[in-house]
Amino acid sequence: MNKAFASTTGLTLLDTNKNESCFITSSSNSGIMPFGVKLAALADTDTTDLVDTDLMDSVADEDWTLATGVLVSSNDLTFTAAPGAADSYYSVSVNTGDVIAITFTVESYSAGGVGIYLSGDVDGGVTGYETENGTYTYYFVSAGASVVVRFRTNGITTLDVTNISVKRADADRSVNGNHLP
Amino acid sequence: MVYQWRTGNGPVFHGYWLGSGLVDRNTDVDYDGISSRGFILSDTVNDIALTALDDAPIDPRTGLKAVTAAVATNGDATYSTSLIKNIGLPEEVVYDIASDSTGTAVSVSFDGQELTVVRSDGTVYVWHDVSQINADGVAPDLTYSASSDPALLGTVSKVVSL
Repeated sequence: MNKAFASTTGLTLLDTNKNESCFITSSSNSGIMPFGVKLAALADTDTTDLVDTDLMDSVADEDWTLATGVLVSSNDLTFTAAPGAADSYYSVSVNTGDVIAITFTVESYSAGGVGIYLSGDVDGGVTGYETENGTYTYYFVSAGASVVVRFRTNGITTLDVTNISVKRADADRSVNGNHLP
Repeated sequence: MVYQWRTGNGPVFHGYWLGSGLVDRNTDVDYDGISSRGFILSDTVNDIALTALDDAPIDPRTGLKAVTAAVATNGDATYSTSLIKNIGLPEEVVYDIASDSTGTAVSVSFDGQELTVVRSDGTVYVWHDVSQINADGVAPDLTYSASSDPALLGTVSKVVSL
């Protein structure tokens, strides 16, 4: 950098030999940017600031509609020899076009399987059934102002579903398409 | 040539102007010492910077190169900055530069032969080689502002030395 200019907003650094600039304020630093770039911002934040409220926070146990053989406690589901092709579900309010990230953990797996079917999903259809313990995340795009999150069994199912999280996510326009939950 | 003296604290000078020859040697002529040729643009000075140009003549009194000064002023509604080259020598000359149509000059800085002037609206002018400035109103080589490319952050008010 060979030039520096001060304002009440902050400091501008220029390298007129390399055609690079940098903006520095009391709380941020743009890093070195090629001329022509108006802003390459580094936010003073962490990942918790980048996600929406967990929509599960507003879901009470009594909001669930449970299938036979399924119990709920603090939004944790217990499947005990639950019949197959049965849904346990609840409804949440979203915005049309929202990308929704649903994460849940399968514990104490014994039999059957469980998958998510999101009524109101643009693409529709049930996800693959989870048949072993683990944490799983699926993304959906809302087709309306509300969606019904359904945990659907596959065969006689015995397992627990815990740590259910439903969040609006930023639409991912990157090549990898992994979204930002 | 002018013989001058100042009256009071204002910018008005009295002098004997000999530009028309010795016939005027005893003619007292009042003139505005600020706006007249050879003086800086305004008596309100906001910043000053000094340098010695590569081609500056040697001051025989010091044996050093003559000093060149850039003076940021409130301007005269046309220019805002006075460039005084070869101070104290017969070769001393003053040029008026840096448009002040929307603001006065608030900061000046030399980096070798390169002069940077900051106008009060945040516009920054750069002359790469002030030794090449030999007239009033010489356009800057570069102009930066909040809307230029590269853009400056906010309304710049000062050149910072690196």
